[in-house]
Amino acid sequence: MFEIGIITGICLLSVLISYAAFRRGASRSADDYFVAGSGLGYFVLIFSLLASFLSAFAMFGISGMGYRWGFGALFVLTVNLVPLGFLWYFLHRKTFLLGRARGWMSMGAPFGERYGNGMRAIIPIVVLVASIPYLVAQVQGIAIMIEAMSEGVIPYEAGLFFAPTFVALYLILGGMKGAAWVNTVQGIFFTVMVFVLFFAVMARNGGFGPTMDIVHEKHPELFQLGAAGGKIWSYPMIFGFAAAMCLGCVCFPQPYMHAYSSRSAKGFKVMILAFGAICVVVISMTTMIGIAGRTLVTGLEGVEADKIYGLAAAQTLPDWAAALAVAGAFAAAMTTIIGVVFGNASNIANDLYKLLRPQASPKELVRLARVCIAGIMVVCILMAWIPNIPVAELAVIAFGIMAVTVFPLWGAYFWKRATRFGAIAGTLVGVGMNLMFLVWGLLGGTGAKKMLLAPQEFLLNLNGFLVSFIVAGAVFLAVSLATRPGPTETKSLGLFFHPSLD
Amino acid sequence: MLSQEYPNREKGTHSKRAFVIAFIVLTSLCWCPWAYGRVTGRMLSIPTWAVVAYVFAAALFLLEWVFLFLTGLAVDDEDLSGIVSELDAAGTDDVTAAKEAE
Repeated sequence: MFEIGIITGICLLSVLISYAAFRRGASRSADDYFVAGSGLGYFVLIFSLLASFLSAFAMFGISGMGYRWGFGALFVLTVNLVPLGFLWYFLHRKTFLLGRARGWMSMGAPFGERYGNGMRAIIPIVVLVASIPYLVAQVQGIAIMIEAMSEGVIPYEAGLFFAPTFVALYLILGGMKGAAWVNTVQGIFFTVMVFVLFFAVMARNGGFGPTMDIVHEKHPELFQLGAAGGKIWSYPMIFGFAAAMCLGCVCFPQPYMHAYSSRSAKGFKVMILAFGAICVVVISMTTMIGIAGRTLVTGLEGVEADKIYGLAAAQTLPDWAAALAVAGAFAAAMTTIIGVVFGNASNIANDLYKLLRPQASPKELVRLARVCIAGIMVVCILMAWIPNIPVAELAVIAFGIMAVTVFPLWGAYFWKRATRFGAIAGTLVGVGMNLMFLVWGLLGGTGAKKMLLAPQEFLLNLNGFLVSFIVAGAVFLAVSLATRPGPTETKSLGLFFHPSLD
Repeated sequence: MLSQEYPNREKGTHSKRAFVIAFIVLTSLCWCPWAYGRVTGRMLSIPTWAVVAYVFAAALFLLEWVFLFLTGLAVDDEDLSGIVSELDAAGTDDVTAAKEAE
């Protein structure tokens, strides 16, 4: 129960922080509420973006991968994310500049101005469909953690209300500014706890070198690529994971919302540059905690290996510090929910509702966004309540679906010949193929995760994600070339290709 | 006219291309251990190929940092207000033109 007390304390502190942002005028207008009045400094931006992306998977899942499969896990969320520094810059430089000039407050705004209302309506729906299973997985994970940490005193069903209640409070009270500050506090907290646990685990065997020597002696396969007869960390497997995770990150709502919220160009650049570097440091540590976990705990198989983070904390830290380490993973899950829910609420209010009611006042949009936050959280609780939905399997589709929107985004900013038909066709085909592979994996016995992320022989050793991605890009290019730009696309060229943006 | 207002723009086309090529090469090395994955042995207690991967990641990070902050090729705060004003005006012109057309 001590862990529950710690995490509840952190959440209550976060509510106070969010409320303080509200009292300082963070939510006076729609601009303040949705994009923090474009006034966030780079320190808050860095940790807010980091925290909104790194979920409990970055702690439990990655350390579990390190435990099972070794150093190849460094290609899942560490070195492969460093390219985001330039990918985000090239793809979101115009998001940052045009967003400032045009007062954009949602992910659909650039698509709407470039391709018209069709894409403006499709984007929020696609993002919502992709992110709901991802959110439900986080809510479920937190409820399971609460049940385990309270030793069954708080049942799973009651635990389902914990994260949604606090997230709704942060976001309804503080908007983007409140969310960014909450993410920052919780992001710093879980980063510090990863450092503490890493040094504690390594100190158990006399330091980093001696620990790795012991692991290498007993499990040399963890240091190899192509182990298990070439199956574990083959090149196609590494490339599939690395590209899927990195490309998926490019198109989540978080980079859009943080680009709009940045106070300065320097803040925007520091944020995107620092993200990959911090991931390399922090997630390398969680990977190596898992690898070193082999010296502490033996015999964890399959998903059981995801427990190594908590077990390593329990074996190497005093009870109160171990509780804090586990609470760090809890905070990571909370901040991911915050980032994704707020992005979706902004999309629904500023894209879908504004499309239906163009004369909607800013106050009305803020009110609707708050209702959406509550609504999304209720849907997540209801879905998490039904135990038979394979949420963890469904959640992997988020990255694949988000990633296919990269082509319309690239076309909007860099290709004058891009048309709305190409954008819509590319997006729908990409989403459709991801769903097809998901269903195929679930019904065919392969498993959705394997189908979407592991190389498949019948797909030329690519995974379902990359095949969907490539086909979506090809459809976007082919359909754009086969159709003529309409008045909306033609009119938008003056703004999207303005000489000042060169 | 444009080069007078934003002197960094025109000089940077070739440099920008060189950076993009370097980014792509390093990205492919960060996404897959082409060739260096065959290196065996350990260095700094971890696999040598992992050290090489970190070196490529560090090189990419440094290159991104140079591109974003030292070359003048990336948008900076000195230009920001001017660019936003021009875009603002362009956007307003579009709206006015559309209303006149109606």
